[in-house]
Amino acid sequence: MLLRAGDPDATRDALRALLPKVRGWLYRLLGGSADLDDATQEALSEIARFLPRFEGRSSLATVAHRITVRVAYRYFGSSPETSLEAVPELVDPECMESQVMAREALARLHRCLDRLPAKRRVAFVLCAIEGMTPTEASRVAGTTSLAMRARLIHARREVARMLKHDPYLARWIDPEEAR
Amino acid sequence: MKTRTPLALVDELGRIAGRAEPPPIADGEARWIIERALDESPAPASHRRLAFAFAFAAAAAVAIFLVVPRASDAPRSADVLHLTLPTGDRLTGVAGARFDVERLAANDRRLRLHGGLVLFDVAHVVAGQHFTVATPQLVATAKGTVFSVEADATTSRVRVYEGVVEVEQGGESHLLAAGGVWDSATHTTAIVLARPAAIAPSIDTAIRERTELAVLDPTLIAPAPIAPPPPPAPAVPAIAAEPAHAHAAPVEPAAPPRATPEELAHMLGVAQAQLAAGKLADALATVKLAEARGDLDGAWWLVAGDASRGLGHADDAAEAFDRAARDLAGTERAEAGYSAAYIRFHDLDEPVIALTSLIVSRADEQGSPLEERALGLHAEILAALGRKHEAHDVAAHYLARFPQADLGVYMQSLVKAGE
Repeated sequence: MLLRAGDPDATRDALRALLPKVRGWLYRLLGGSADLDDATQEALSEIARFLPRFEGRSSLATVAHRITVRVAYRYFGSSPETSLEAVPELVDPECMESQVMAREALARLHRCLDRLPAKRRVAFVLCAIEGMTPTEASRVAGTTSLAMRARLIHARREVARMLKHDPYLARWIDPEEAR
Repeated sequence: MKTRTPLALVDELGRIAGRAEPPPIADGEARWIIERALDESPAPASHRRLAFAFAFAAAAAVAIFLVVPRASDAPRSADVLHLTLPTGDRLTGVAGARFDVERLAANDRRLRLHGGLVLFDVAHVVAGQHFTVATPQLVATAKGTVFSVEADATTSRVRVYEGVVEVEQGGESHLLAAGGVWDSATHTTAIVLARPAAIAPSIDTAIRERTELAVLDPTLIAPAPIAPPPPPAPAVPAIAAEPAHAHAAPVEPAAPPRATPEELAHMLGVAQAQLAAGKLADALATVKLAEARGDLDGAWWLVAGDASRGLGHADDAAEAFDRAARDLAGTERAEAGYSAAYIRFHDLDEPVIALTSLIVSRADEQGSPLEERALGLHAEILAALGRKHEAHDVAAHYLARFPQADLGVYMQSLVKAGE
């Protein structure tokens, strides 16, 4: 009720609770772009604007995610190079041989994502990175599950094609498959 | 070093990226981001809302200093006010309209309409730029266009006169092409050619000027020219006038103007996008609008056929596919004809017309990508019509062409029955 009435304290509390999620979503959508905090602030601003109209038909997190994705579209392409420093160190000993390699691999993955059409990029991030099903992702992206599935298929294929031509990442690809 | 297929590597990198978290953020920085977000979101109306007159005066002041005025022949009346934003977007507000200009940058123009009726003649919007109008119920995003938004406390209505507008409401988005109307109360798209009387002259002016610009340079509809500073205070009494909807009585629809080939191509793209997004009723509405404005080719009827079929309108779908088959060639003709024949035979129980659809489209000709399925349907229809000898011939042909295909057993039965 307080949110719907536009109560500033209630709105502030809601934004504080959502900030880590919003920042995380944008981080994965934008690939560690230097615009991360600007985009976060913009998304929170739009969420705050929406809160008085929130009717509770879906979870606030779902609505916030939807708004965040919409904001991310505005930032796609604004940062031509992904900052390596912005990619945190990862340890994934089964698949990648060192933290440095993992960091470099992720930076290169995000460079590939930068070259995807925006809708396919969102489909890839929501499904392949966030781990959502196409149906769940379609609700966030405001499209049909069929369209989301199609975008994901195209996105995975395009990223795979780009990885094959990336000399750094190609070493993890079976040479027979790389041809 | 372990290697994998390219797609497996893609998925693996995706999983690793999914575990990545953003760099930590200090509490102070987080608080600062939240406070800035709160500052940018609308505070209680009494603090931040701009009455129409105030926005009008403020923008006029900016216009005086930042733009070069030009003569305008836009009709004016006592009930409407004309306003040009420094970004080149032209607004025509009916008396009583109230809105905020929430953000005014070249790449991001955001307005919030609290009530009343405003016409937006949006300057050229390129990739990365946004022009949005929010109401309590929805958000309309222009793609470089002429549209109006009318709002009150409970309902908003978006009307598109040229170009395309994306309307978002309740987490769903809908593309509206020219002639389309979105009603927030009913969540429906309709085609309405009538225009609110108060802004009809401004609509005509905006469209005429855009057409002239497009003729000069068909590749670009340039930013809307800047109007002279709006007239001073006497025009403003509008604030105290009646609510906008009182002035919004629709006029009788005139014959819709013929669309240029470029406009039709643009509308076709919209309809195809609507179809791809599963918005079948929207796609069909766009087809109907285009039909009122020009002669449609086969690509349009394919859209109409697919949308009608998806909506369960078998009769309309068959008719649309037949029209598509008559206009198209090659694979598309075969697909359209086969679809029409299939629907007529299986859904509408019209075997004679189904046979005609199939034969006219030549879907079962050798080399057609649908040859096997079309031959099977052809034989099936003939058998249903009791034309055993013809069914025998077609079935025999099927078996000769596709001895290992799925319908082999059935075709053999038709061959025996016809002997």
